[in-house]
Amino acid sequence: MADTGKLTVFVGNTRYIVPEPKRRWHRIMGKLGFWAQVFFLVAYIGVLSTAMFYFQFAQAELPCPLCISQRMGMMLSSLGALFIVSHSLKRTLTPSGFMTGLGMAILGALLGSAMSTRQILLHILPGDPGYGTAMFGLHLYTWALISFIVVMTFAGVLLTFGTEFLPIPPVSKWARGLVWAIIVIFVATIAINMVVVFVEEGFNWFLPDNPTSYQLFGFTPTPVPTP
Amino acid sequence: MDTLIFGLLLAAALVVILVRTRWIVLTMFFVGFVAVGLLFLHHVTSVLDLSF
Repeated sequence: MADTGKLTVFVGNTRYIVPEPKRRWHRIMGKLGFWAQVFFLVAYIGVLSTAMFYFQFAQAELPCPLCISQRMGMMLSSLGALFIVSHSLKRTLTPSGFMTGLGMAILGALLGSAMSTRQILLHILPGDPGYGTAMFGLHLYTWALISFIVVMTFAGVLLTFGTEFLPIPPVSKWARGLVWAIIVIFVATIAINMVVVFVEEGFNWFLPDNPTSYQLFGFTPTPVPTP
Repeated sequence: MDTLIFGLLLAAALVVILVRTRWIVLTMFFVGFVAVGLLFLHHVTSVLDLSF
């Protein structure tokens, strides 16, 4: 379908052009709704990149299977925001599509929170040092649970407003280019994670519970001592 | 398996961006969701020694 620059809804085979909101307040909420979804993507790109580039590469801490599955939960959850942002930019996002995206975000976050809760409970007994390095006093799986709760709250709040936050995409070229660049970076983040986990797992079906080496090359990194 | 699931998520992300038909997007999402869920269940190997 050609991009007419108008939001359209199909009812059966009939295409209706949805008029953009006229009231200033509604337009502000729509724009806020769009940039909130972009921020959702940027936040998870930041979290996934910090986990991989700082903790895995710089600190030489190999992620455990549950850590990897929580990364997958974050990606699943972000697919909802990705759906909303990309289709909003293409002007093909319908109100029902908006709710589909929020539903995907909630389901992904729900699965991810089950994984992080499991890992928290594994290390909850007094005296247990936990897995990996703590950041600001909390381990990464605890931060992961907090992020999943934030996502579920965010999506829940947007759903209570119905279509008030139905995203209105930017019209300026640089803003649209910036958002498309963020989308490409998000996809690249998944691709890089795939390569990195292949190097860690090698040609085995599953990761060991406490991985100590990159099995594809047989390389054992030396963890950086914490000050 | 983890590599394959990341590959599946990568395919799902591309479908989410490029395909407009909602049921195809949802099918890819749920295939990824079930795959990640099964991987998680595989790694739940013991009952927690805790009282709830």
